[in-house]
Amino acid sequence: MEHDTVDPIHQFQIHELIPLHFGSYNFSLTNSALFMLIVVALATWFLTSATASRALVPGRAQSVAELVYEFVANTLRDAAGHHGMQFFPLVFSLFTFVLTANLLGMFPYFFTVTSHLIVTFALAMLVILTVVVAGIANHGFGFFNLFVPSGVPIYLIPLVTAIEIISFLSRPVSLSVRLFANMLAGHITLKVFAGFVFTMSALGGLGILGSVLPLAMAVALTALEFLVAFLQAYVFAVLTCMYLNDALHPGH
Amino acid sequence: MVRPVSGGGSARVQASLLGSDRRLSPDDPRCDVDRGEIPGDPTHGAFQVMTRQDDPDSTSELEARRKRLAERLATKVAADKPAGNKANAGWAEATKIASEFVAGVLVGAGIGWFFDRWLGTSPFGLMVFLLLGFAAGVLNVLRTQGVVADAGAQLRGAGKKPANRDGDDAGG
Repeated sequence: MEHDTVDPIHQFQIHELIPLHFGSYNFSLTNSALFMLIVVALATWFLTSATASRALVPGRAQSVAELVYEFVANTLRDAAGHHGMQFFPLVFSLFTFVLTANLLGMFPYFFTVTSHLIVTFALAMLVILTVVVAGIANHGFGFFNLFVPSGVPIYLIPLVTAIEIISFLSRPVSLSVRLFANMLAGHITLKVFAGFVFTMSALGGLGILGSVLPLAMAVALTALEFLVAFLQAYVFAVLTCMYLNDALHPGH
Repeated sequence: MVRPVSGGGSARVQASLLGSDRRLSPDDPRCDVDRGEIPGDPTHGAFQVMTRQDDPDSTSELEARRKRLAERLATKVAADKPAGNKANAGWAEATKIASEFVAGVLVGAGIGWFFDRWLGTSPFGLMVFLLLGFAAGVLNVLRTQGVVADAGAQLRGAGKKPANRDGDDAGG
């Protein structure tokens, strides 16, 4: 128990809440799955209840919902043009999910869904597969011109194409690693400084006095983490838009 | 327009704090308008001077140049905007570049490792694809930077991306 309160990694442990085993497969409801459901439910509840009144002059909740909508719509339109708006539901869902998950993770004792690589990688694979499927649907095999840049000498084409393909395949990796690493590092740092407060004040006397310093740091880091939570959701959405732009306009 | 008004307000507040009477306040707005124009839009004043000196042809050219500059500045500002405040922008930029580079190397190494397992060519697949992955990582970084500089073209809705082509040349 003493160990758990200071261990910065402990918060990322996954444990089964409702065990469900079918044959050799494990379908248990874990804390991660529970928080994913909470994130989806919370985002859906907020957006539907905020826009339910459809007031001409929006109230507080409605204007927040409209702000989010406008924000994502403008981002997508800027990156992929008007044609890209067909992907608006995907981008909006991704942005809301990541943002809600990041912000929900800021509550003490809450599990941060996006601090697990497999979750962010699944989201990134969803984006990349959409890009590939939409690109082939829109341009047929012309989509693969994405890997063969124009104006390259013929003897360099195999090399450049190999590099381009690796570069393309590295997109979901960088997309997922960035989000995961930011959330993981932020929460560990926060926990480490909070742990300093705990251990120093346990010494009593001078320790309690000294623990003010890490406490101040933890407060500052909390503010930073809120910024990072928003920023990483935004970066995820922006890069999704840019990759979707490649699916719509592969020629370069 | 906003600047002179707010400046006038603060000047008036200052005047009232200094205990001066109403005699100063008619002077203040005029004074603030003059002051507000010079730092607010230096090009505007400069161009006005030029129009007085030069012929109409160069005036229209200057006007066109100024318009183009304003456009470019607007797209630049729009491109820079996502990062929020400055300290955070640096952090976001750093993680972006780092993850792009590392992802390229990791994917290259992964492909090489799978090739080796599949074809039994160890360690040549890993060597070749690790190098290719390194190149892809550098290409990723160059492309990210190119996109940052080239976000204006994307914002203008251009299908072609010249900066990407630069990135390709550099990568190849």
